[in-house]
Order: sequence, then structure tokens, then C-alpha cells
Amino acid sequence: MNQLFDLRRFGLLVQLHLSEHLKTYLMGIAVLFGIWIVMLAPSTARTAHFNESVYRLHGILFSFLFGGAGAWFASEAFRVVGTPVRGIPHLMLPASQLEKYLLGLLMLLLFVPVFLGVFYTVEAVCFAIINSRLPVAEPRYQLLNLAGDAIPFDLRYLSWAAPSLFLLGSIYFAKVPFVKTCIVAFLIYFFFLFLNELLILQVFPVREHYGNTPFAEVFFLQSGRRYDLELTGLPRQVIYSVLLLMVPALWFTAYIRFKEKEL
Amino acid sequence: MIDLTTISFGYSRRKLIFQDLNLSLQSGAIYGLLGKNGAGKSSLLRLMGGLLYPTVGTINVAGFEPRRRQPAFLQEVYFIPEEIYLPSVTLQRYIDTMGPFYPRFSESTFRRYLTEFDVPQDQKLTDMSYGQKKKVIISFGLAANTRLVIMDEPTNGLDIPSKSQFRKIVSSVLDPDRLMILSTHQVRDLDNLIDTVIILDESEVLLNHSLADIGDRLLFDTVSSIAQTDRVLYAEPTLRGQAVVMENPTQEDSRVDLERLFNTAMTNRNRIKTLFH
Repeated sequence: MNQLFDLRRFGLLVQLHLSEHLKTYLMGIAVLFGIWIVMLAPSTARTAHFNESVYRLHGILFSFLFGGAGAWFASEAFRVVGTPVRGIPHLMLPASQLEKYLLGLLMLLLFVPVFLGVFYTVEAVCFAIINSRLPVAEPRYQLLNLAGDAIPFDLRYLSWAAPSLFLLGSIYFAKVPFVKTCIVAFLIYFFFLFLNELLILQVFPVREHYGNTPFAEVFFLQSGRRYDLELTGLPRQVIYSVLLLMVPALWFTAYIRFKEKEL
Repeated sequence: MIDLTTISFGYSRRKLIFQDLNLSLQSGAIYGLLGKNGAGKSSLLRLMGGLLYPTVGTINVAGFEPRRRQPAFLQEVYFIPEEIYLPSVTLQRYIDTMGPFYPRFSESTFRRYLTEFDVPQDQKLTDMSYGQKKKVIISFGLAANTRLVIMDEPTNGLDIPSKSQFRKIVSSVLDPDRLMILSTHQVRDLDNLIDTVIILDESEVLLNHSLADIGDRLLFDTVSSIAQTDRVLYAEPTLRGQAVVMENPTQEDSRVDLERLFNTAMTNRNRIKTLFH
């Protein structure tokens, strides 16, 4: 018997988890449908002409809801080991630590297609309604391209990375992990904003106005001209790699923390 | 089957619950773990189950290091915590999803125990009373046929007939390859059930002996008055005179009264240590 991972044992674990939580998950999906309908219905009712701003609205709504719902879902992933009442039966269940951890991670990963499915279903219906009203000469709305320009880079990254941080938070904090991880996340975010600001002040001490995407790009006005600067080549790859590797690093830290969980 | 070697443990570095504690438990016995509130009974059980890690020392349970929580180890241990949780599923669903984790689990034995405990088998687990839930967990734990069963305050929440049924069932499942360890602060619940007593006090194991050993060294009696020469270690007034615990140099037969034994150990710990070490 493999002490690290066994597919049959993992299957039993998934079966056990779903037997306890499937009903809750199905109710969660119904709630998600409701939220998306409420969110997209006003713009569907108002829109009579093609306008790119609809995509931007959908993109921002998607990012906030995906990040928020994902973070909340992730913060529940290991809440089971937050207290001895539920934690002891879970930790003493004859399955490996890796299998138990992967179960939590699998549920979080499954959240992505489920969320996308709900979002695109509601959006497809909304766009079908809008498209039926649009003048013939105007282009039709297509489903939101998540890799397109409708979602700012930093918002897109945060919405995809946040759940991983909350996954770790669900193991670190036994009580109210969502709220506590939120506080930590904001502290980290503001720390990096501040750090980025300091670096910009060092590099561009004289400017009339500037804005930036932390550690990726900066624009500023000088003598009435606008300048846009962004990283290219190796520095850009380094920054993107660090941002990308942050997610598996958070997963790994969560696993180590889970393995060493004491109750 | 269980060996704890010079372990130290504490929830903070400043205050240790156990320091250089050694304990060895053999299979084929039912151990009763006694101690005052805060003596560390639950912590000791959790250390054995791999739910807590010693700061120093080693723990070996059935050939495994508990802190690694390997599946092969977890298949040999069933831990019944003081506070229990059951999911919102039917009994059959519980059997179908939990049973396969334990290779020697027997559904017929589980249902037999439930019948003996008078637990209804046709309702959702969450619709049951606390006592019924506890009986479900105890029955499942025994029917899982693990080599080690750890029970932390198992009789909490059980009514009087159920406690008696509990003693009957637990004593019937013991075999030479199994070990059961029960902690409780209601020592009377363990009467006629355990065969070895462990008393924890002030970060150490004050006593770890079979009832036969204890009976050889201590005499439990009721006397009308106490003489100076009686070597009385503990006495309490009763309607029939003084219930006493005395040294037993002539190895007279008497029935070990767990409550009096515990009180003796608490009030006369040095003498108990001398007598048993």
C-alpha cells in the first residue's frame, strides 16, 4: 500500500467529501446563478447599442466576483481542521496527508470551471437578449475573452492568485479565516504598493502626474507629453515568472502547514 | 504496542504538561487513563494518535511513528474524541463511505452494536440525540476492528443503561492483539471494564499497573475505626464506617475501587510511588 498516494483511497476520500457536501455545493451554484443574474440584468436591460464598455463592466465584475467567491471558497477548504470536533475525525481518517490536501485543492480547482460555466451561461443568455435588440449594422456581442483587454492586468492577476492565498489562510487561521486572510492580503498588497511607489520616486523623481501597474508598467506626464513605460525582455519575464510561481509556492506552503497541523 | 520514550510536551515552551515521560502499553488489555482536570489525559491520547507532536522524545505505536499519520497507521487506530461530529447523512451512507477506509470493518458487527445500544438505524445521523451519536461513533470504532482504540471520555453523554451496555460491549471485543485505552474523569464508568490503570499527575505517570498488581499491593476495605498500625493511605467516611485504602503486605484479596484508588494517589502520591516503583 502506497503511503503517499493511492488512487483508490483518494477516490474514497472524494466520495466521502461529496456525500457530505454535494448538497451545499449545488446550493452554492444556485446562489451563484442568482448573483450573476442580478449583476448582469441591469446592463442587459439598458444596452440597445454595441459598446465596448459592456465588456469592461463584465470583466471587472468577473474579476471581483471570481476573486471574492474563490477566496471565500478557498478559505473554507481546510476549515475542517480548524477545530478538534471536526479536525480529529478528518486527520485520523485512513488516508495520507497528501490525499487529504489534494482533496481540498481539487475542490478549489473544480471551482474554476464551475464558476466559468455559471458566468458564461448567464452572460450568453444576456448577450443573446441584447444581440436580438441591436441594429443590424452593429457588431454582435461575443462571450467575454478573459485574456483580452477588458480586465486590467493587476486585477486579473489578483483575482486568480487570491484563492491560493486564502487556501493557505484557511490552514493558518482556525477562526474566521476569510476575514483574517483578507486583513493579511490587504497588508501585503499595500506593502507592495508602497514599495513600488518608493521605487518609482527613485527612478522618476520629477513628474507632473503618473500612474502605474505595480512592478509592470508606469506612465507619466512631463511638459504636456505622456510617456508610457513597461518592462520588456528578461526583466518582464522575471517579474511574470515570480508572479506565476507565487501560486504553486502558496499551494506548497499550505501543504506543509497542513501536514504539520496539530489538534 | 505503545511506547513513549522520554517525551516532553507542552502547549507553550514555558509550561510543559509532560517532561521526560516514559510509558509502555501492551496489547490484550483495556487501559483506564485517570487524572485530574488539566493533567494531560487528552493531550497524551492525542500524542498517541499523532494529533500532537512531542517537543522531545519518541513515540511508537504498533510499529509506526504517529506524527507521520500514514494511512497504514491510521487503519490500525480508531480515535473517539470527547466531542464528536457526524455528517448529515443516513446511517447506510455513513457505512458506505466510511467503512471502506478500514479493511477489517464489519457492517454486521456495527449494526449489532447499534441494536444492543438501542440506536435507531433508519434516521439521519444529525437527527439523533447527542447520546445516540456517541453510541454510533463508539459502535463504528469497535466494528472497525483496529488494533488500537483510543477513547477520550467515551461515556460522556451516555445514559445509565447505555453506560452498562458500553462496558459489556467494550469488554467483549478485546482480543490478545488489540489494545483499548479510555480516559475519563468519571472513574465509576470504568468499573468492571478496565484491567490496567494509568494515573497521570503533575506531568508524570504516577501509576501504570494492572488491577491484579494494585490488588496485591493495596487493600480496599471498610472498617469501623482506624488504628495507627493499619498503614492506612486513604480513608473516607461512609454509612457503614470508614472506607479505607491500606497497604497490603499480606496480599489479602479485595476489589479495587477506582475512585478510592484515584483519591489515594492524589492525596498520598509519594507513598504510592514508593509502593509501585
